[in-house]
Amino acid sequence: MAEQPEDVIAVERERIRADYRTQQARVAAIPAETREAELRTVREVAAARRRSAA
Amino acid sequence: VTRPGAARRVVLDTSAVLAYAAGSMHEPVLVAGEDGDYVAVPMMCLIEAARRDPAVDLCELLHAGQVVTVVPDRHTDAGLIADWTIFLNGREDAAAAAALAYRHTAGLRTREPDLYTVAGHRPDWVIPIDGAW
Repeated sequence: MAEQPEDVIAVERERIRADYRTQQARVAAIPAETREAELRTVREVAAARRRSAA
Repeated sequence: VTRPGAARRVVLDTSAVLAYAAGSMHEPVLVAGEDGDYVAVPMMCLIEAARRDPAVDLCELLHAGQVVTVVPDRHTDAGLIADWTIFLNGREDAAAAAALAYRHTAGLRTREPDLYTVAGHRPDWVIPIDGAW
């Protein structure tokens, strides 16, 4: 029997839910040190650009 | 930004706001609401979205219960946003989104994921809207 449109929509919604939760879990698992290192890089680049513009 | 009971956050940047208005971001925002997460949108991204597309309709997004608009705290976030703005070559809207994601250890949804590249690497907290990692 062919899949009904409602079934297709339900499957797609469940896929989106699963994707969303996987992505949120991955974000939550990022070590604080990683974020801090990224921010340090951002600040160093910004400081260098300020110096070169001065 | 506070919302009692919400443990997790999602940030939308300008491109994500425009994607929502175009109808391609509704499901993730709905799921965020189901999961008790809130969806934070910097005011600067709303302004930039309206500047890019003066006909954009933001009413549906702004009326969603899980969506909060955020004005940066100029006392605590001014330096952070200034650094991000310089880093992102003047994109103050993207800087506000990045700073918000950093402050709240949140994921940032965007259609411009490469914009946020740091040291040649796209941070894991940057989530392309198409879902690709």
